[in-house]
Formats: sequence, C-alpha cells, structure tokens
Amino acid sequence: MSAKRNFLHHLHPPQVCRRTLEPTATLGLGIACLTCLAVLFVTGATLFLYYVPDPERAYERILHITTTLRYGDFIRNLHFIAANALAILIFAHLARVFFTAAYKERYLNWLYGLVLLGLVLFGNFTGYLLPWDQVAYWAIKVGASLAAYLPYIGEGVQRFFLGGTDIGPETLLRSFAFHAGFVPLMLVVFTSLHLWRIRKDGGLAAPAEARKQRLPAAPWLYRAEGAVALATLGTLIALSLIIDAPLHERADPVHPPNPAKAPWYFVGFQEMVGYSAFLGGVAAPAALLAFFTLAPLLDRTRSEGGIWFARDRLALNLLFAAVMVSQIAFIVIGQWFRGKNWALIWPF
Amino acid sequence: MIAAALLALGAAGAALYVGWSKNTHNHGLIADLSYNLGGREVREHCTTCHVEGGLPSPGPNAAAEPHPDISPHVVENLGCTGCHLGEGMAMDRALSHGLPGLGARQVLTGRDVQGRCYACHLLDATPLAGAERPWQGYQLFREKACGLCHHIGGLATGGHFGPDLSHIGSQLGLEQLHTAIRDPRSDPPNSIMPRFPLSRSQVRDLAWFLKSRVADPYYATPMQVQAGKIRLPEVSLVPDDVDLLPDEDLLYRGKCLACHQFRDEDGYIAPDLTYAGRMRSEEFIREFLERPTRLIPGAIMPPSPLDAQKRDTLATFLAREATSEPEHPHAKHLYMHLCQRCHAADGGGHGPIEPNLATFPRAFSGNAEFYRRSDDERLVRSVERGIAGTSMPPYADVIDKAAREDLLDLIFAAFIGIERQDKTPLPLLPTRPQELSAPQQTDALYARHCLRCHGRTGSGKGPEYLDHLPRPRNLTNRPYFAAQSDEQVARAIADGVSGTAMDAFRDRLQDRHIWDLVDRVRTLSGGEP
Repeated sequence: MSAKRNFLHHLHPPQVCRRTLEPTATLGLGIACLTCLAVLFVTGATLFLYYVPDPERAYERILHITTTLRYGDFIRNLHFIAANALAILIFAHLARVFFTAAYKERYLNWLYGLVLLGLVLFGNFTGYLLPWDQVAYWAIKVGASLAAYLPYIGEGVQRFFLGGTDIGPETLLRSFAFHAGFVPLMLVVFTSLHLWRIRKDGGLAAPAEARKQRLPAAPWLYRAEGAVALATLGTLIALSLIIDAPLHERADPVHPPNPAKAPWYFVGFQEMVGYSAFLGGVAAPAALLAFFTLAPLLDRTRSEGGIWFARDRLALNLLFAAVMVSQIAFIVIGQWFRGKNWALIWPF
Repeated sequence: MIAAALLALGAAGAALYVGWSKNTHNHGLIADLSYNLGGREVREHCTTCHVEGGLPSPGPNAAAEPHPDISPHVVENLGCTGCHLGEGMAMDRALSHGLPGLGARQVLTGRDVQGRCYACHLLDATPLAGAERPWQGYQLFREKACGLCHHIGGLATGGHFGPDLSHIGSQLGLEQLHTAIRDPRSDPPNSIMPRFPLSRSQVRDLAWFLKSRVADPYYATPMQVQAGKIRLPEVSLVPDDVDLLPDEDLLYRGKCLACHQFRDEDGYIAPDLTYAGRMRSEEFIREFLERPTRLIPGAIMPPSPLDAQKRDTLATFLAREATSEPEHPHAKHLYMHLCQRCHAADGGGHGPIEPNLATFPRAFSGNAEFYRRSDDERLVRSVERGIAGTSMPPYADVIDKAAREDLLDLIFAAFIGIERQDKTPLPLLPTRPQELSAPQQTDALYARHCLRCHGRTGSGKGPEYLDHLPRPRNLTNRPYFAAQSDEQVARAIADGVSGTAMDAFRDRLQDRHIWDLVDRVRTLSGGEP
C-alpha cells in the first residue's frame, strides 16, 4: 500500500495551484482520457483471452464472446465505447490545451500528446477490422485505400499495413499485432512520458498570479482526479449498457456494401477525398498535421499559458475552431448525409 | 467525489445485474459440440435451445420437439449448421439465425433445407431422392442458358459476361437469390441481365440449386475441384418429342431458343428469328453470332457458344428456312406479328422484350411531335431497310411494299393520331463553317452539354443515363452513325429529338458549335461515314 502511494506521490507534486482543482481549468479531460485508456487495457486484456486473429475463426470467436460468455457482450461494448470515447475525448483535450494556450513553454509535451493522438487513432483503426464482419472489412478497405493518396510513401504504407496488396489473413494478423501489441506498448510509454512531463514542467500551465495560491495535493488533487475518473467510468459503463458494439454479417470480399464508409474518424477525410483527391487526400491532411505540430512554434502571442481564450490569441483560436468545426462538419456529412454511390441524401 | 463514486457504483451494479439476468439458457449449461464434417471441424451451440434437435421448448420444463427422421443421415454425426446454416457459435436469437443483409448464413428451415443437399452430394444425372427441386433448378439453369453469361464450377464452358456463380451459395441467401433472378435490375440498377419469364416455383428451384453452389463443397477435396475432376452432368437441350427440321437442333444446341423466338418456340427475351434469314444476309448472321456487339453495339446477347462451322450451318439454316411473308397480310395482324414484340401492343414502345434491347424502340403513341418532324420518306426507309446499329431489321424481303404502306398507315391512324402528311416545317440549320474549333474547345463544349447523359467516352452511359428512357444514344455506335448524314446529326443537336430527353440546343450553342459537336460525334463513332 505504501509503495503504491509513494508511486502516486512521485507523479503528483506535494502542492498544487488552487486553480488546478477548479473544474473549468481542464474540464478533467486528461484524466477522462486516462480512465478510458485504463478501461481499454482491462477489457482488452479480457478479450485477448478469447480472440483468434484468423479470418476463418475470428467472426465465430466474436459471436462466442458476445453471446456465450457471461458479461462477454458487456466487456466488448465497454471496449468499443471506451475506444470511441477516447477518440472524442482526446480531441477535446487537444482543443482545451489549444484554447488555453497550455502548450506554451511545453512544446515537447504537446508533441507527446500528438503522438498519443496518432496512436489512439491507429489503435482504433486496427481494432475496427478484428471482428471480420462486413462493415469492418469494407471500412478498412476504404481506410487503407485512403492511405494510398499519400504521395511517394502511400503505396508502401498501404502495403505494409495490409501485408500485401489486398485485405487478407495477413492484414488481420497485422492489425491484431498492432492493436494488441505495438499500440498498447507505445501508449504506455508515451502516456508515461506525457504525465512525467507535466510534473517536470511544474504542474498544469497557469498564469503567474494563480500560482501563488497553493494547496496540498493530498487529499484535494487525489479527490478531484478520483471524482473525474469515477464519473467517466460510471458513464462508460452506463453507455455500454445502452449501446451495443456493432456486429454485422461475416465479411464478404465480393459484395461491398453501398456506400462503403471508412471508420467514422476517417470519414471526414473520405468526404474530402470525394471533392478532390489531391486537396482532400494529401494537401488538407498535410496542412492539418503541419498546423498541429507547428502551432506552438508559430504562436508569438505574449499572454501567459493557462488562460482560456486569451484576448491576443483571438485569430489563432478562431483558426483552430474553424479547422475543428470543418472537420466535424465533414465527418457529419460523410457519416449521415451520404447514401448510395456517395450521393447526398437527407437522412431524416 | 461521493456523487461520482455512487454513479460508478450504480453503473457497475446495473452492469452486473443486466449481465446476470441476460443468461437465458435456463438450465445453465451450454451445449458446446464439435463435429467432423468432411474433415473439417464444426463447433456449435445450437442444441442449447434446440434440445432435441427440433423447435425449442416454450417453457423451462416442457419437452422439446424431436428432429424429424432423416435416415440414413444421423443428426448426432452431422450437427446442425451443415444442413441448416446459421451461426452455430452464437447464442443470441438474431445472430444465431443469420443476420439479414446478404443472408449468406441465414438459417434454412423446412423444404429450404434441400438447398444444401448438393453442397455435400455431387449433383448427378439423376436427382437425389428428396432433392428433386434443386436438381430441376440445375436443368433450368442449363435450359435457360444461364451458363452463357455466368460461369459455374463443374461445367466445361462458361460465359464471362455475368458474375461467376460458382460460390454464390456462400455469398447470398435464398431470398437475395430470388430477388436477383426475379428482378435483376433491383440491384444494381444498370444490370444488363434480362428478366427471364420464370414461374415462382421455377425461380425457387433455381435459387435452391444456386444455394448449393458453395465455396467449399463437401463432395470433393479442394484438389479434385482444382483439377477439374468435378463435372456437372450434361443436359440434353434438344427436345426428343418434337419433329425437327434438319439443322434445327442447332437452335437448341446454340441455346438460341432460351431467349429468341423461332416459329412456335419462344424464349420471350429477344427478337423473333423466324424471318431472320430473309431480313439479314448470311454474312450478317455469321458475324452477329460471333460478336453481337460489333453490329448492334450495346446488345446484351453473349457471343454464340457454337464453333465457327456450326455458326455457318446455323446461318445457312436460318436463311433457308425463312418464309417470305406471314400468311395474314392484314396490317393489324402484321403489327401484332412483327412489331408488337418490341414496340408494344399499345404502341408505347414498352414491348415485352424492350428492356433487353440495346436501344429503346421508338414509341408511336404519345409521340406525335416526333413524327411531325420526321420525313415520310425516312419512315418508309426505316421499315424497308431497317435502322443499322439497332435491333430494327429491314422488312423489305419479308412483306411487300403495299403491306408496308398499310402498316405505316395503321400505325399513324391507331397510335400516332395524326395524318401522315401532317408535318412541321423545321427552321433552317446553320451552315457549316469553313473551319471547326480547336479540339480542346470542343472538349469543353462536350463536357458542358453532353457528358451528363452521353458520358465521357460517348457510350451513352453518363452519370445520369439511368434517369432517362429512351436511354441517351450511344455515340460510339458505328453502324448507326455511318447511316446518318451530318445534317441529321446536326438536326438532332439543334432541334432535339422529341419523345426523348435530348433537348434542342439551338439557343444554348453558337451556330458553329453545333457543327463542332457533329464533328465530335463523328470522332466518337469512328470517323466519317
């Protein structure tokens, strides 16, 4: 018990700003992400015991897990909900950090965060294929073909991910290896670095005057974190009781659904590619990546980090908001307003 | 903190409770059985609910119905999913009975189970007792010449026109097969497969047969299938109860009569061949049999399966046996005999075989404007010499001139509803300029005005082509455009074609651009006439 407390004491400073404990400072998004991650590790470890990455058997194993095993569908739902919640929360977390300019003087941690974002998306994407059902198969087919739009390396990346030129047993095995081996390991490494950097950078970003009011971390910080973690956990469990992780028919490589859509977090790109292969498939993603990586370097404003919507950052914030809103709009259009042959439809 | 803890606790409690109460197999045990089916391991949980193999018991203690006797098969050795399909590893009602959609694993019950017999048993020259219907389906498959377009494993020859059906039973459910046969154009809407005149029970037979065409049949090792050792039996297509003319059997062997009509035999899919030898030269028939789309672009007829020598014999036979004229020269009978198959009995163009033709037959009724604008001479010539590149044959040698005139009079009186001499004078065409625009300009012009319907390559299959009937003209139809003068093409562009979606472009184009587009049509259809 004391060793555990000691370890947590290493992660937490002895004293924290009073501001850190206010819900509006971070909205608790980091801890919510961390909770999702923990839930994913626990449920994933359970699913690991029953899943077989073989096209002949994968689907039957999923059926076995969801219908025969007691709490099996609950565990799978929880894994599904937590994964999707994490993808949403991590973007919300990114937006929070941007809008409060918390990356100032913390560029390294911002980069760690971006790596984590990439890992989470990649983990989601590789996990999508594992049930080997109709929707998963064709979503990965579309997703992998989006990769081919990258100049020069696109086809190489695609071939590396698919383990060939087309989806097959190799792809399933690779997806599983990435999903259950590489990605979790990297997530642990980079999450540790991410948390460690916060401590090294002196806790959460806060304006100088807010730093003067300090409180002991125990029990206040532990309580705040615990509350967010438990609330997140409770919400995840409640959602997984209501929402079932989707499962469709067995994958059929000759009968694509119409329309075939990428997983929702890539549908925005699919939608953009629909307008222009170069602009939507290459230029826009490259610009997004450049913007995210370089934003802290380009940010020349003088306001301190840790303040929501600082006056002098209005232009930057508006730009960021525009980027986020447009991506959300693309995803919404692609996901709900596209019907057969990618024609615009009215879904209601 | 306390509120969050309570929330988490409540949610976890609810999850535990729901998970516990979801356990519906009330005796608490799960039947987890494995079978050896043709060397493959099959694992299933079906008998958890279907205790005795029959329908599940309604209450916890009521006796379940037993499985009907299926000797010499033994249920205990075969398991359930081998014959009934479904998802044996699922314990959820919806999942275990196969999800809707493609329906590949949809559970088969009752007489539908015979759709699986020939997944284990080799289909033989005589039907298997209890599986006569799918065997009938196979006979139908051969009789209706499905194999001309679709390949199927076990047959020496097979077409590549349509999708390979060798594994179709592993991909689609019975219901999906029914729909695909009964209404091929329901999905995809641009399918060229004709709607065969089959009865409900014939469709069912075919679907049962196709359901047994699976990717991993049990009657052979993969090696035997690979080596082509598995052969489906031959079916005699020539009826033995009819007196045939010499060489008439070729019409059966060539599978012509699965679609075409010859005298009293009718496939109800394609044109009448009774007078074909009179209408077309032997040369034409021979070339048409070899490559139909060269003479009638867009024709859905696959190349004839007969070899070159037999094609010659067939062409000679058709030329020899064609009679000169039907016996009833009355125009009304002539129309019903020669025209209504395509142009329909009401003159609307939707004749019984219209959906299978490369081009839509011109409508008579409700299309008066078209005939007001067309030269009488042109109409006479169309009947006399036919329209090249379409299914309209020349009738010059089938019915004499007087009968042709009577026929036109009848069509005008009965369907078009105007006097034959009632013509609208058309505005003059712009004169052809000395020099045409640069090709890039014409490209832009074509892309702006024509592409939506006629398509980038001029195939008549632009993005919107399915919205229009008559379909947009195939501009690459070489024989058709070879017979059209430049003026006729320019006329169609400038003043449109009434009764079709082709608009008048006179007001939207500069005069010279009309001629640019005429030139473009010439390029697409392969040069000057």
